[in-house]
Amino acid sequence: MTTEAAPPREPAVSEMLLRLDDISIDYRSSRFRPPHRAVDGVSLAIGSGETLAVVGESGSGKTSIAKAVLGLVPVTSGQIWFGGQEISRWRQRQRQALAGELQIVYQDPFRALSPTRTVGQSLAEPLLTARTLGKAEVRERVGAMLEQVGLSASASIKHPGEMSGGERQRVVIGRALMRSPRLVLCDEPVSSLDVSIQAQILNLLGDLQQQLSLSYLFISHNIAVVRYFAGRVLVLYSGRVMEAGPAELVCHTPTHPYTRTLIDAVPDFDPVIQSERRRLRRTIPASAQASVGAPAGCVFAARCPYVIDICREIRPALKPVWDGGPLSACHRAGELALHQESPPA
Amino acid sequence: MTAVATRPPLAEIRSVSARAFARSFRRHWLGMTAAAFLLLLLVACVAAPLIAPYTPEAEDLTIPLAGPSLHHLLGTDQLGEDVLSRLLYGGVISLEGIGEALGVAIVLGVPLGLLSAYRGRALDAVLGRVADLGLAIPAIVILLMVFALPVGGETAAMVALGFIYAPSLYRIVRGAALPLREAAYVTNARMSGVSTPLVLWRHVLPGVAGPLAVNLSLTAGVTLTVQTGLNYLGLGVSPPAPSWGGMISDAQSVLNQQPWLLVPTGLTVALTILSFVLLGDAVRDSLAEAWSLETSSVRPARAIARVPGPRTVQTAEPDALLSLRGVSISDRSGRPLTTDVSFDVQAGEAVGIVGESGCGKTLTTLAVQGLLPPGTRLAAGQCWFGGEQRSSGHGKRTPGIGYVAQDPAVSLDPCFTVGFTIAEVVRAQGHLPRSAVRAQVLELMASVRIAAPAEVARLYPHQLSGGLAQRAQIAMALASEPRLLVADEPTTALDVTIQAEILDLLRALRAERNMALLLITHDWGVVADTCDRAVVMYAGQVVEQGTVSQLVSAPLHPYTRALLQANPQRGVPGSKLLAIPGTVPAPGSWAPGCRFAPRCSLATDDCRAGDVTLTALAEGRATRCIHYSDLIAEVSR
Repeated sequence: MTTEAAPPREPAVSEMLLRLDDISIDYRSSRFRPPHRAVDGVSLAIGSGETLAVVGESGSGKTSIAKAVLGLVPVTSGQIWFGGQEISRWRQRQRQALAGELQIVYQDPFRALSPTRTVGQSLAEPLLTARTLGKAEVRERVGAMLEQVGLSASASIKHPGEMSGGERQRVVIGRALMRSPRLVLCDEPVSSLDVSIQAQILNLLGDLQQQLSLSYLFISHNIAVVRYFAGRVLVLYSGRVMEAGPAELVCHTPTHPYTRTLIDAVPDFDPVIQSERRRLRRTIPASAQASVGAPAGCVFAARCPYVIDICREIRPALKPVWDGGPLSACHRAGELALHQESPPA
Repeated sequence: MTAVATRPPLAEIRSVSARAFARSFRRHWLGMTAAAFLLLLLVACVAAPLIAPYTPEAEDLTIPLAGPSLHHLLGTDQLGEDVLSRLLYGGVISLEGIGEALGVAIVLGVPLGLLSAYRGRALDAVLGRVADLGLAIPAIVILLMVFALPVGGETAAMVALGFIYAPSLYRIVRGAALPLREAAYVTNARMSGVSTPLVLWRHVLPGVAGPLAVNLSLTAGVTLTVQTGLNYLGLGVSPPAPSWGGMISDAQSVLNQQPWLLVPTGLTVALTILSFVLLGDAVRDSLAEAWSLETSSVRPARAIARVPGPRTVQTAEPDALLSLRGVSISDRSGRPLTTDVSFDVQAGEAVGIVGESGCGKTLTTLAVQGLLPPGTRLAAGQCWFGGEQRSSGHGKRTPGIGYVAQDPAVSLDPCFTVGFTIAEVVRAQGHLPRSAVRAQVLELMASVRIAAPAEVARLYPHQLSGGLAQRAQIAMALASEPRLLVADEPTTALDVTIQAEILDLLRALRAERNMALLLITHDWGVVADTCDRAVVMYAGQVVEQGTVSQLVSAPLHPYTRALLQANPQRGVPGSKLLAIPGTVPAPGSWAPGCRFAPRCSLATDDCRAGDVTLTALAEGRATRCIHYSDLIAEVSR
């Protein structure tokens, strides 16, 4: 397999399976306190068969976006389009009609399966609920799905407690695919797994994507996984998009200082490269957190090693660094794109 | 057992859960005994008209207050009535009453509790208030009012008791169900359109069943006590009709003449209550065990459980700070958890222990510290620290070793401020005046680069970010001025940017204090960033060791190579990652010969033939692979 193909381009609007337009999400802890804005004006779009990764640290709003797409948290403003319909204000009854097309794979396979139900029961449930197939057909599909995710059909009489983390994650993926969805939200699907199992699951997700032309919204904090797995990437900080573009390009030559910080923080496993990377790393301690609800300026200004006066006063817009290039919300994106001192990766 | 059917029969699937429960319940002999007793009692009472030797009110005034005899197995009371017959007939009323009270409480409390937790919001608020009101009304007042009614009597009272219990049952169910509402599998079921009653029945109720079982068993006991008390007072069942409470009352009035009379009834009541409680506990325990690995996997046979001792007599490195020789740890049944682990850590050196979970990394470092968990023991081998041999791996903590755990939330007590927790460790090092303790706490916190130590010292763990909490934990570990810091996945729970800061800190502390570092991790990047040398462990064995650059650039064990290749860092987008097939085998189910052979691409029959020894290649470099020369050839090609 070659990687010589042209970098993945954002598909035209009409091809989009999922589109988020200027989404904001607020959490209200008490009536007397101002709400906490977890997601602030995020737009994204996923075409069919595509993988879009959302990457960021904890508290960046990644999971809130997934929850909003699933209708588990209300959006304060903005629209969510799925397959040509605006779904952000749908009620639960309407949502259930979407369940066949939109599924999620969670981070923790220990919490994603009912401990008291057998694997077969868990897999059969979505189909039996949909009532489109008879019991015999469901049974057949359960067996086939278990084999498709790399388990044997006899695993259906096991309980999740009898399986390893990797096997359980396979079951969770199988359950999500039972009703042949078009889009699967993957919320940190491999971060609780050992590195060898992580590779197995990533390979499985890749195979399934090819076989079933699935789209993935892939949420992760691990930029190395994102670079390998995703076509396009959205870098999120404090609920705002910092940078967006083809994964290979963004992860290799970032134009936003935050993306840069994230990449440089991942230690390379070659000690020589790593010591070089450490020498070049320019950071401000993360403890210098962005002040909550910064009224103006860039949210990353407090931690940014490249900060200048304008950053604290004017919020940078998300715009292409060059025509057709990645989007970056940085006043100095142009400079940084030219000024690469990224160690070899 | 290994019926590999391509089509899992659905009916069979369904019965597995019940079978799993029955299987683990059968192992609780106390619970089984209690269940048998209750069943026997129930059958005997219901069948009283058939098996009781007399009718309950058959008086025989010629033999009042007789002791046990062949005609009257449990004796007679004041009126010469047969105690056994009255006990059986009276039991019907008692057991019926318990059934009524529990039934009403369950029917009201369980569904409302589940619904209240699941739906939340207005419904929860309203039901909560109603339950509070119900709890506030004194039970005895209600019961006396019910007895004052012209109709109903005993049954009405028991139903009323059910209503009285319902609020507390509601609260218990609601409390247990609340955390499940957010569980991913419940959300998942809801989103796929499973109806609310089904979600509650299938996914939420099983999670609540444990506390529910315990509570119901206690409630059953209390109901029997209350009911017996009411009957004792002559409420509900009026003599001469038999009831356990009435019989106790009769017995009490003639206690001086015939103390025996109290024994049959008193003992029956006591045993019944005891049985309820034991049954509840057993049900709770078997519910918890039924779906876990422990019960369903077959325990390894003793035959495999031999601990191979080190082949050659190894002596500890005299100059090393820490020296492990042939350390084997096993559990209580003698099943080996790690075997023949040997490595050294020089003073001031940083050594990584790398491997997947379940390879024995943590256990080995716990043995080093003398902190082996209960149920495990040092079966063979020696552990030297600072020139002294540590004997057991248990009990006494090895001084001079600091420990940093993966999750700072666990090692910082949520009830105390960070400053207090650190001060506690400082005080444990020896008597110091208050001000000196405080000064030292602040100094420790400053040494881990906490910007405003005095302010952070006043905070509670939940107020700290993950990075700050990990710094506080490191400060605690430094309090004893350790010569070796053991860090168990210190950055796994943290964001990458915070991870980089913590690794920088560990590196700086090591240089400042000439402190050795033993770092457990599964991330080669972390090893490369902080360590000089690394030890790779697989299935309880050391499989390779060497300097980090040797291991990374020219791994001489297929496992090391496979771990490196599986890393997505070097993965080419669009092509597959080289995953290691299969999983780490559980202790006791290790393959004979090379334990990695079943997952290894280079494995041949030789690998499976016999145990593979750790071959020392050069200074500090060793591999447990018989095909390592192939790997050397591959690298040089």
